[in-house]
Amino acid sequence: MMFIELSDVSFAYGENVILQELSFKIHKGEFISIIGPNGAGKTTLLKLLSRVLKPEQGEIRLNGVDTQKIKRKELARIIGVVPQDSFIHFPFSVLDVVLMGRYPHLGNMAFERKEDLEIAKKVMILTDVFYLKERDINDLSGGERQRVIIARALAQEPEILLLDEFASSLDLNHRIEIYDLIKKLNMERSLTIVNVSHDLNMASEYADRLLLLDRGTIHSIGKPKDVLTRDAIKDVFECNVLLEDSPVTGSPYIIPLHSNVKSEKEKRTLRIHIISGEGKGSVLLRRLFIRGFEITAGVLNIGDSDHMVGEALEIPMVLERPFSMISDKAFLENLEKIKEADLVILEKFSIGKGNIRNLEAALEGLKKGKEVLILDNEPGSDFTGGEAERLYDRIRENGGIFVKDHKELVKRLDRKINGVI
Amino acid sequence: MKSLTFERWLKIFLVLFFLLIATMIVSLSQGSIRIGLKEIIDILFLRTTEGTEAVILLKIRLPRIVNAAIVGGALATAGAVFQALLRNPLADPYILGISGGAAFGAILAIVLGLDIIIGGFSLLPVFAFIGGAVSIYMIYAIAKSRGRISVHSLLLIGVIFNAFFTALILFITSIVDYHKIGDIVFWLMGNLSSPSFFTLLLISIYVLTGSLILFFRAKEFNLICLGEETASQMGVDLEKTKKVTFFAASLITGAAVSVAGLIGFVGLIVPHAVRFIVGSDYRLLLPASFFSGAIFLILADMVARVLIAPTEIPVGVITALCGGPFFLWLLKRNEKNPFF
Repeated sequence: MMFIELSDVSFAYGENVILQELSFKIHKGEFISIIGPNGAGKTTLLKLLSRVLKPEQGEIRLNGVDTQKIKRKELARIIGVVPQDSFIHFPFSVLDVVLMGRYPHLGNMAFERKEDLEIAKKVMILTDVFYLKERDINDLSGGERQRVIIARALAQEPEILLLDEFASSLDLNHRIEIYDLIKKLNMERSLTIVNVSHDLNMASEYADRLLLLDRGTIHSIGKPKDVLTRDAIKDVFECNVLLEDSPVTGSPYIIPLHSNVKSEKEKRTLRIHIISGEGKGSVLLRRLFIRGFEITAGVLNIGDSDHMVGEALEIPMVLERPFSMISDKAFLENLEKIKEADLVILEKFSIGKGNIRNLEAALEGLKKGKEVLILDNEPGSDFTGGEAERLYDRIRENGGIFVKDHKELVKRLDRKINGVI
Repeated sequence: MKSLTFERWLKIFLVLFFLLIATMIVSLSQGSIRIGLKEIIDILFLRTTEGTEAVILLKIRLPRIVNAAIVGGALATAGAVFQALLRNPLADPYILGISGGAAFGAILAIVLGLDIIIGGFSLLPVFAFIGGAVSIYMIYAIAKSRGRISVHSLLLIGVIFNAFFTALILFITSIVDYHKIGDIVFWLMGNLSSPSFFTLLLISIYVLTGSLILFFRAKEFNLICLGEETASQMGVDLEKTKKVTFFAASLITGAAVSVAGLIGFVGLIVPHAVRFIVGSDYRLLLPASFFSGAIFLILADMVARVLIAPTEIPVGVITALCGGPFFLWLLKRNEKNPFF
């Protein structure tokens, strides 16, 4: 039986498109986890489901009815929400907060009935906050407060529970306990769970299905083992992981790989020489350094931000005095570094008479058979009256490879390291 | 388990009600002439209708004390409601500049000769209400960014609104009738008088209607304290609630300002003291704030009348003398709060 259905749902904050034409279904009694990197649109999707935001296009239907047409109170009897941050501005006791969850059932009726108190007591015992019932909610620890908020959502007696990063502030013990509780409610009372999570392992252990969001679109949706593949994670999160089957549930289990802890296959590293200037290379230097490549750089002017980043990361660099032409000595040293490298990356920085010899060095490298990648994302200006442009053309003619952004560059490096290229 | 029950609610309601009556009687006895309890009872139950004391009590003190009760109750209730709506413990109709807007509305009506009476209803409070409503709408629109309302922008806007409206009021008064500027300044500082029975009745109707509308939404204010998004996810029709609340809170603020001028800090001090004693549950907080606001303003007015009798100090001076330091203490104490 179908329960929630999204068709062609899009949403944008002004010009900034957050979600694009999402269509999928959530079945009754299902446990689905929404995963994806920061800014993928997970929280926005949850807010659309709880009708805090209105889709710009498309429709969200609950049992076939457009949620926009359902009254707030009625919706709150169907959907309970546990938000990300739950700071409360005034002193309320834990019991007061949990009883507020009865509002959609009571409306503005002044006082709670006996059965409302019974329900509050039950959900507080379930989430292990009953012993805190008379405490001020703002005196509790983050984890305790979050359990109170879960109790409040359960007091609404919803059929669907939307959870936004609900367990991230909990310690391991309570995180597992609360996940177990949510799973139990899901199994025994067929409470539908929609869970936004950054914890991919928890998400895949407990969920029936995963929805992987990537920049506002659905990358994939399905069983955890079909969604959480190594390629998908690399593609969407841009990081390397190892995947194993969890010994308990058989769901995929992710082990993040730090750049200095590589799998057998990745033990081999690359030596990369980066030619950059005017601060353009600092992001790349940092990124590639963190990924564990052996980096050299040159010729850099002393004091520019590339130099400072390189110094901080202790990268060997060929240097030249500030605002000076590249000397013969620096040029030759640079050629030496290029010779030692497996690969050369050339940033498209602004070229003047002072640093044009960096392009010549790249060209020399190409002629000696080095692979040269040119980052073409934001080309700098040409102050040489066309000379730089001609050099770029010659670099291209001699086999220089132009890549459009860092993401493509990193992919290429990964393929190279794995021996694909 | 302790939660709000009808019994607890009624108990606190009755205690505060009797406290209010007791305060009124004490306040009736005080003034340039002291009047004993027995005489007060005789006069109130119309067993004595002759003599200066009866005149003072019935024509001067009683209307003034009832006026103080209505105005104090209105300002405290409005303060408590604005605190929920803006999720900010420092909100108060005066600090936010809403009273200033209401005062401007009232003055404009007087200057333009619009303070007429239609079908028995004076329109003056209506203009004060419009001035207050426009201000609160503007303050809300200006202070809110990305769904959050920062306390600093809120306070700055309040200061600016108050300065601007006060200047406008004095400007208009100077042009129209320069001799009245002394009265206006006195009124701007917040001043209670002994209004006619008719005015008093009218103001009471405005304030009680507005307050009742707010009391019946008390649970929604509780939920709004959790945040606007959370409130609507829990079933509150936020747009409707905000509209009705802004309307009712502006109405009672406007009514209070139209008879008493700019009395500050009542809406700040009273709900806080009450929160401290009965907790934050608006079902209890609102009626308790109403009674406590009434008691507080009666006492402040008594001090204003008695302190250097027969000269009177504007009651707004007394409330500001209590409220200013309290406000600073609150601001300092709340610094730990991530919202600040």
